[in-house]
Amino acid sequence: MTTTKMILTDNKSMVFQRIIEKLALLVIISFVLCVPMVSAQEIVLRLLDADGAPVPGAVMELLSGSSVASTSTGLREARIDQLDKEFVPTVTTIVVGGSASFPNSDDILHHVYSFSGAKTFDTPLYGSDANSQYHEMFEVPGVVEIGCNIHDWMLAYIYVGESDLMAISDDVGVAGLTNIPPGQYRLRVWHSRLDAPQNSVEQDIVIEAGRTEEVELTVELARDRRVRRAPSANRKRYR
Amino acid sequence: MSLAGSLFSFRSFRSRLIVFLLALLVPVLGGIFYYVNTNNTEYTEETINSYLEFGADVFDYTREQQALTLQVITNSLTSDFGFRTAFAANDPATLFDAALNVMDRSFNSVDMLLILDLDGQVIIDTETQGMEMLEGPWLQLLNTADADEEGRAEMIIAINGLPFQVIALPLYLPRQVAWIVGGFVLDQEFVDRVKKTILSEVSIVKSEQVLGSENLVLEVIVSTLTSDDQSALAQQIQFDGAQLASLQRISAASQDYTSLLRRLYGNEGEPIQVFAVIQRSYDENSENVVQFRSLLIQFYLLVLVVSLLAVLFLARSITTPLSKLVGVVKQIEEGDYDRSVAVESNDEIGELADSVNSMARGLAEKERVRDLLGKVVSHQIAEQLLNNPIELGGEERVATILFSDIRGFTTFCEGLPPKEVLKALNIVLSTISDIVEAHQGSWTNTTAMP
Repeated sequence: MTTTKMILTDNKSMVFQRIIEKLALLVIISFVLCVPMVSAQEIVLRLLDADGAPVPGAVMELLSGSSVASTSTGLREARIDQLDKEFVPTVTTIVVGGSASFPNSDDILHHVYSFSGAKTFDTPLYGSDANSQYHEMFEVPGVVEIGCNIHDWMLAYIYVGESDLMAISDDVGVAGLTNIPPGQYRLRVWHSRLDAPQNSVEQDIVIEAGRTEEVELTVELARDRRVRRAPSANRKRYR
Repeated sequence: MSLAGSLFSFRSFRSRLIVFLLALLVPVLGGIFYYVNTNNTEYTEETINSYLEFGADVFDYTREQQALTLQVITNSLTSDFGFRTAFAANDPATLFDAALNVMDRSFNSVDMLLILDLDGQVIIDTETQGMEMLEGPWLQLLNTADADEEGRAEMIIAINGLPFQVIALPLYLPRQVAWIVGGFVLDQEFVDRVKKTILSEVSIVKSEQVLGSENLVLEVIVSTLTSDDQSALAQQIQFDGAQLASLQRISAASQDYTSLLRRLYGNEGEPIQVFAVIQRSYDENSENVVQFRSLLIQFYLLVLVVSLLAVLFLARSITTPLSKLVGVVKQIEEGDYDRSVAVESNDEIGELADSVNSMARGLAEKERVRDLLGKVVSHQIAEQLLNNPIELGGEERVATILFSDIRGFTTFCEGLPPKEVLKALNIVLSTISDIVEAHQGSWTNTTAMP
């Protein structure tokens, strides 16, 4: 809710900012104390592949004319864990300027790296208690592909968004956003296998007050060519 | 006499036996020889064929094993973090050095590296072929890799005239960002290695179409053959569809080779085609057959000589007493009855000789009787007496009897010497006797009466 209101403040002139902030505070208080408000403007995206199967792990982003810096900690500080030699989660959204930490829940060392244009970094080998303070900042929008130099099959994507209106499609291929300020938007859908330039497609969309915009999108998915985890790699420990 | 009769009429028993023996023995021996020889030759060719097939399989296997090594090494070296960093640095000169470094680390398992972006644009080519975009077989390689689940494809491609076994693999960073093509050259070292295993000659031959003409230039790229044998191979080997599948005989300077071809690169009709040729010495393989054949021929000659000697001995044991008998019988025929044959055997010829001897004795006795009788009676009567049984009581016949007398014979005799008398008498008697004999008469007696 607060997120939506903050966007509204941005669309107003700076003169009314403080008043609006107070109003927003009131709204929050009323929201917390009273019955939940009926959600207003929503968008529900249903993503299907060419065979009609749902596409999970896709990022939906709503872009408006002006970019925003989110105040949501969820979008500003992401956490990508390493559990049983896999990244969890495999798709993460961060708004530009946000950061991500890479804790290690395994009892072996990992070496996280990225050679992506949006962010190139690599962490030297580290164990589970050595990196609690380690963060990487993401200042450029785009997709950052994260790998581990020890485990070639480990792969995660960080979607660094220009807007804070982002959602990731679930197992049934559905991504939803609520309380969107009404207006003209550009809907961008990204998926690691989407068969299009930059693995994303875009279309214009109008969000009207009090309406739920339902979008059903069918996309072509390219072959998922990546290093597969061999069964032998599942051994718990080297002996 | 009919033709067949004249063909098989022999002047001697010996030649009849020899011809009979040859007619019997030669087809049997010839038949056996043909059967054994054909089967042996067939078997030898099958043996050579399977040796060559085996050789070609080992060639492919060695190539595949090396391709596997190539894949493993290319894959692990290009997954190296240093190489990944070099790739991400996006500096072709650095990446080129990184590629050379990978090759250095591969212990000669990797001879060339080609790095391509996902659109097929060349980033690095250690063979510096001057390609910007992939073309021809390279494009085919990449399309095959792209269609493969693991993004892997292998092929043989001719680079600067040399055949390379190449393998395409994705470069993960950690997602696929490029294609890595590693290759090793099929060179002298490679064919030498294959030869050690299969004990057959191994060559790699390129057929290249001359620009603007139909002529093909054949070139032996690498080979375990001597250079003289290599040029014979280049001159004689055939790459046409039908010839490709079958064994070919190459007559080289040192020996004859049976050759089997395996296509390595390029399809039929394409300007550049590369083949592996596996060869085995034909003579070496057919040595056993040749040896067996000559043994067989020697054995046959021995059999023929022994058989001929046996036949000659057999013929001799029959013809020697026979010709003796023939000689004796001929003499008997001529009237010499005092001959006898000395044959000391108990067989039919011995019996015959005894019979001839007793026959000669009989004939001699008969002749003596005839002689004696002839002096007493006329020849005709003697014959009749000898030939017809004499009946007691005589024989009744109608006959004309002539008595003749010479008048004044005594007076005539007195005035002449006895020789003259006998001469005159013979003239008279001969005249009479001729007439009498002309009328089947017989002369009984001449008497001088006083």
